[in-house]
Amino acid sequence: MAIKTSKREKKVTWEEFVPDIVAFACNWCSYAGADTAGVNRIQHSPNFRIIRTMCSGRVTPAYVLKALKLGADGVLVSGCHFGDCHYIFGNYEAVKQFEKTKALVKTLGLDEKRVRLEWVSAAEGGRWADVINEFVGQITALGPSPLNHKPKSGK
Amino acid sequence: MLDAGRHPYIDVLTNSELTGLGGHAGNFRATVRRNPRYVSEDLCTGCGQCADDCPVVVPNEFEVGMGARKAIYQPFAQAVPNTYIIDSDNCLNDNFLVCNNCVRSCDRNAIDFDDVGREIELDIGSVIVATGFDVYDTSALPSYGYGLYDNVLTNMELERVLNATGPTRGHIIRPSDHKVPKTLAFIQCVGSRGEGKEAGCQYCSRFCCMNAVKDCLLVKQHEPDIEKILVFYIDLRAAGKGFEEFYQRSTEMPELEYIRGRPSKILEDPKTKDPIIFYENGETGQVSKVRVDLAVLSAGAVASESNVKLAAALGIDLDENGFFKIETRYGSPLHTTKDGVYVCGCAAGINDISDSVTQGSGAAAQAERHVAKFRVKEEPQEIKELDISGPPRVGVFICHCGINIAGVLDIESLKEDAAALPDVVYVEDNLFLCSDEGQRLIQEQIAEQNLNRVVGVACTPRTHEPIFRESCELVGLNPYLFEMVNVRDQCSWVHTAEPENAGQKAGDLIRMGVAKARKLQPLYRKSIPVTQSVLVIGGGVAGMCAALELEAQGVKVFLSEKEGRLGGRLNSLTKVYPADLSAFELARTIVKKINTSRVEAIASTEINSITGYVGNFDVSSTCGNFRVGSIILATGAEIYNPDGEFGYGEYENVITNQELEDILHDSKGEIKIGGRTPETVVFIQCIGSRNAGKNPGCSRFCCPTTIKQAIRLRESGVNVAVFHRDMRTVGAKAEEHYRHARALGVKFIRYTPERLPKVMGNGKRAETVEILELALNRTLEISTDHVILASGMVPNEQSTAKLQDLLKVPRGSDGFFMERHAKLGPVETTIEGVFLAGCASGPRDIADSIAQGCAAAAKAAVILSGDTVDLEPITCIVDKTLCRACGQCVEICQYHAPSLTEVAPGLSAAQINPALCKGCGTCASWCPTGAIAALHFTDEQIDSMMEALLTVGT
Amino acid sequence: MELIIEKLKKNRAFLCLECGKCTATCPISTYNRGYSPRRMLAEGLFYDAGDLMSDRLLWSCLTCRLCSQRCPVDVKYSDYMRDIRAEACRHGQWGNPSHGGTLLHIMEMTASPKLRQNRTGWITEDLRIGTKGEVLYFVGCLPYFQDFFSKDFDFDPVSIAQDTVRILNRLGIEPVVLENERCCGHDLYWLGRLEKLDDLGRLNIKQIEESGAKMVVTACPECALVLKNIYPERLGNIGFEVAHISEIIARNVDRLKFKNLDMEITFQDPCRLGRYLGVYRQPREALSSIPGLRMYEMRHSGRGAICCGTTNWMNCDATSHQIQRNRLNEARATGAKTLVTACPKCQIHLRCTTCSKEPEKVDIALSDLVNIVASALAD
Repeated sequence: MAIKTSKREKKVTWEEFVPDIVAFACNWCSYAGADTAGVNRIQHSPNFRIIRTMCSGRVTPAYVLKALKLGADGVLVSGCHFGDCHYIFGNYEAVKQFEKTKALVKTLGLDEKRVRLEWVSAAEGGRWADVINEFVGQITALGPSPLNHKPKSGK
Repeated sequence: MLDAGRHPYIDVLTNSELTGLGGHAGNFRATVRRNPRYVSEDLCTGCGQCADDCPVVVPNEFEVGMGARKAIYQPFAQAVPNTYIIDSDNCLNDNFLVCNNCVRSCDRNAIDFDDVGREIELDIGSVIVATGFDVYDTSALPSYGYGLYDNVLTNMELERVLNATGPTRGHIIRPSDHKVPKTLAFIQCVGSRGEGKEAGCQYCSRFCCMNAVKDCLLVKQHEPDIEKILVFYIDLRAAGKGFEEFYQRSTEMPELEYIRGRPSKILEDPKTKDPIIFYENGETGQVSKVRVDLAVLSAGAVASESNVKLAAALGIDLDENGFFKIETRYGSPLHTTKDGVYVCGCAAGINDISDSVTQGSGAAAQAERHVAKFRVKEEPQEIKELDISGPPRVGVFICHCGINIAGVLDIESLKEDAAALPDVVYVEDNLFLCSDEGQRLIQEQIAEQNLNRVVGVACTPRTHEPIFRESCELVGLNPYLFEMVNVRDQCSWVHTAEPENAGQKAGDLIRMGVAKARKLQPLYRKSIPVTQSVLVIGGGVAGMCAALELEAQGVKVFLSEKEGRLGGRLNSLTKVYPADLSAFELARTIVKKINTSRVEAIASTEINSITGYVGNFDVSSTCGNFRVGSIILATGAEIYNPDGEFGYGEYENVITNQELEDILHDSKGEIKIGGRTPETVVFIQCIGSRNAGKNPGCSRFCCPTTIKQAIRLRESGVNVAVFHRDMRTVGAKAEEHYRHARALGVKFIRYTPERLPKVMGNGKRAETVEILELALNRTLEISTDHVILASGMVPNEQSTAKLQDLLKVPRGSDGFFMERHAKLGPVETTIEGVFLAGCASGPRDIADSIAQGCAAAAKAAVILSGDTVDLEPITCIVDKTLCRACGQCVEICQYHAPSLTEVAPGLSAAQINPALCKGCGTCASWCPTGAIAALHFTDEQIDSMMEALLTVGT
Repeated sequence: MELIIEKLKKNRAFLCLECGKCTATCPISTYNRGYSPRRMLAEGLFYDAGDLMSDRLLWSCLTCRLCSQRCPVDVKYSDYMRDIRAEACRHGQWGNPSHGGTLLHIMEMTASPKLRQNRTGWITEDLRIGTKGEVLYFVGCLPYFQDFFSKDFDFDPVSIAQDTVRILNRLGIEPVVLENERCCGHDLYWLGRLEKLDDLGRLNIKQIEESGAKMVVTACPECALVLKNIYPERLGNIGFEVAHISEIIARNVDRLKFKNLDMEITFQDPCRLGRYLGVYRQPREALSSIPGLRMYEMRHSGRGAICCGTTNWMNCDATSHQIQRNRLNEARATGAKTLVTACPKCQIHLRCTTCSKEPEKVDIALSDLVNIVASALAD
């Protein structure tokens, strides 16, 4: 699939490494938490892109690995706190899936810190911002993923 | 709030007052005064530009004065409607020289200073009063220094401070020096339980104890470096489902100390501005003072001032505390003194959230009685569906949201990028896409450009997706072919200072949104017919009230009871407080109502099996088989059997409160227990409750029951002592009764779980009870004729386990059925169409059980309100050719939607019942072959988003 | 459409007699009436495979070669499928990968030159591994299978690697194990992702040659096939020999001392080991040299063995399940209590079926040849 790189994007050259991060957020808590950060104008790093799923239990190792395969430098999976899951125990299933993901990521020789599972509730706009800032910081410190084949001079 | 605002049959009239009510139940005419807002609800989009330009800054009431707002403002974030309002007291347009800044800044000409408000008349069938409460004005108690000292706040102020959306964004700071406090103290019962004599608060405000416990945990969470939190209290009233367990967990926090004692005063150190609290420690008897950085007064609740005016307009009475008076004669705790006018929540007295929600639903059920016959039948609209075959034709619509998006993002550049994306055939921007004009643009372009996918680049799908979907649907485009890209809440609002990066992100998000849109498939809401009947399991007070409410709305009800007669626990009670109603009379009245109604009461019935789902449950019982649309579980609870505790079972004169109730029930005049008139009776509280090992929860009803029984005994001359841990006066007037019992001379002696009272006896009779009296720290021996054990409630293991098995309704660790949400769904379960009432979900008193019965009825009535129920189309589906019957989906699903069925001889495949599936997609992630697709979030759709994001330029 | 014609020619498709023997043979066609190799071939011959490209069934062929074996004119159906798939890949088509494609993602990821894997965690202290040497043990996907499957099934895939080294150690061999071994690329090859196979092949061959190994041993028939035949076919001659562990064991049975093993087993011939590499005799020799072990043959065995029902982590479905269930029943009917295979993937697929929640369960244990042999080694 050929997608044209836009003019604007070409203009931007990054002095330093800007990570590509995919964040899977569940519809009921974490996505709502990210919205709450917005409603309260809690500023945080823009270096992540949310993909909304209904439940964190929907996020399989396949999704995380696909993102990493395509060159993502970090993947965040975020759901509801235990006991708060809109689907009762979906987040417990997310934990099981994530354990597999983490084991595979480790065997692949990627830093385990590139993948993270977090719980952020709909009210925790501030926490969402903190989680993002912290994770972006961590990934930036780790540097580009060995699977990130993008040229260094831009996106 | 949003749901109500968006509901087709709910008109939200804000900024309005009811000024008169004529007519009678079922046929009222209400006069409503709509006060001027000066901003048109139709035109305002809530963008907030006007507030940015308004020069007037005043304290924000919602932030309890701790934040600021403009003279044109939104009362609070997410207010419904999303319309600004002008505070004419502060607006400069009242001046000789008008300011008009807002008029100039509004791009939609929504400001109208000529608005004078208007009076409207409504023809209605019933009225529900839900006007809430006012917070006690703590400045009326100068000894606590509120209003005098900077560092004394109320609990309401702390709530705002702790809120992430509050004035300090969740950070706790001392008002005097803006430092983070290291020590904090909560002072309970400020303005409650007789403290606020001036304001007349004799009662317990009920929610402040749990509110303080919760705030302690939140404080620790927000400021982990906090060194000390003190809570000064009299009785810690953690009476509600899960509350006691929550309270016990809080005691494990090392920084938190509960001190029994109400401080005498707070003084301020003039130099440091530290509040200094003077108190006597109720346990040690020591008088001390403590210096804290911040003191929080747990202010009680008082009746809303506006009640007087409203009561007059409605023609109903208020009680002595200024709350709406309950007409107890109907047995309903929601009925005002006028038929057709109902009350719920804190308008009738103090309730916590969960009870208020229950009462809200209950009041709705009662109000429905008068309007059920006028129920709106929806006329299905015939809209021709557009042909969407052929390659995707995507239209991208970008919203400026005034300057909310366009002020940060370069819209032109986004448009240019979007136009270059595959299958995008049309790109347009609009000042406010959610406005009528914006939506019309989308509708017109769908037709003009033959769009078969629409991408809305605006705010969050959580609030606005329904608007867009509806617009698409109205012009024949399947609403699930719309995709929303969130560049406001999750982009322009949070990366305001980095427009370049925000622009890059928005571009990526649009690319992802378009990629998903290209893969979207139409989904259709299926509807299934609903059997117009309800089964209520359990013929106690909750079950009977639920049945009667439904019957009054014309619903066919089966009321099944496993015992031989209806009435449940009500049959064995004496009087029901606070109304001083005879329980026997109440039971007889209700049973009589049932018998003369069309409710099909089937006593001595066991339910054998239940299959099916919402709308159609097939029930098989010992009294035959039938089909119902909904089920209410009102199975009640049992009294805990205290065998072996405090001499129960060993001494014949140690009995439970239930056994005493039976005796009182049968006694006329003089009370005889075991054949003789007692001289002294000792009650011991919390038997089988608040017991960390077995039954950690508080049973809630036993304290008021003991008080009721103690009064009865004391009134007939018996000496009564009550050994308790905290007297928890739950329910209307319970605190007043507690006070009355004390006035009559009932002795209340506190014990701690570390030193339990000892019952000592001789042979078959208990003779004395020993207790460590804490005030003087002395062991007290009381000789007594009878010991009454206040036994808590436990679920009936056998019947609850059976119904859990039949209906798959989960049970909590306490064995009671689990509600869908502790606060917001107290009578719902995770199984759609199955509801809870009364003690099935936890211990409750009669009034609360009735409210729950009504609430469950209202919820069941919602399901039966149409001939069909619409099923959410975002579900999971199984491709049977791919399924290898591994059964993982069946094991994982909490809603029991998937099941294995035989598709060919010896060959099984999973199938998912769309009526049960909630669309979470967790089964799809475990499915090894990909046989399960989570619609609208399919692997293909999510993969395409990742590819669009991460393969740029390749 | 020159390309398609070339491919058809290369795969002998033009010779098709339309006799339908392939369809009558095909394990998939047995259960899925909609699947017919003959018709698939006709699509290519008469319609340039146009509709086939977007047909999900394109990805169903197990490439088990049972049809080719029976074909009177030796049409290379599996190769035809691979070539059409390669074409389909170029058009952005893809089948229905199992487990959401997790394992295929891993394979592709290991083609990234910069990746430094962490895959030798299974090497326990008792195992002797050389850094340089004549013999190299090519482990394959087992460490990843461990991460992904061990929790779902009662099964430790890495025990196959451990037991392989144990057997080699017993023969006095301290095999080299590559720290950064790449996927062999078998599945990607059959799914038409030939460039990826080439990338992986180059990375692997370079590492193997650098290690100085003259002989590469695998415990996976797929790795053996790729290393032995497919790399030379695609990338030219290689400087080392390749053998499946069963061949090594059979060659050296007299040097291994076995204790008594009271077991009743039957053997599942993996397609790659049997029909592709012609290794039928060696696993049987290896197993039957264990005293006490009684071996029964299934009705379909050796050259006529039926595939384990799914390959390449692609298009696993109800048909796969039926093939597997039937195969397990066939194994059970021999009287054997354990079905032994020599391919970790066969075992995973068949295990999945034994874990099914269907009312009728097949009660048979599963094991790998190396696990059986290692457990029989006398102390």
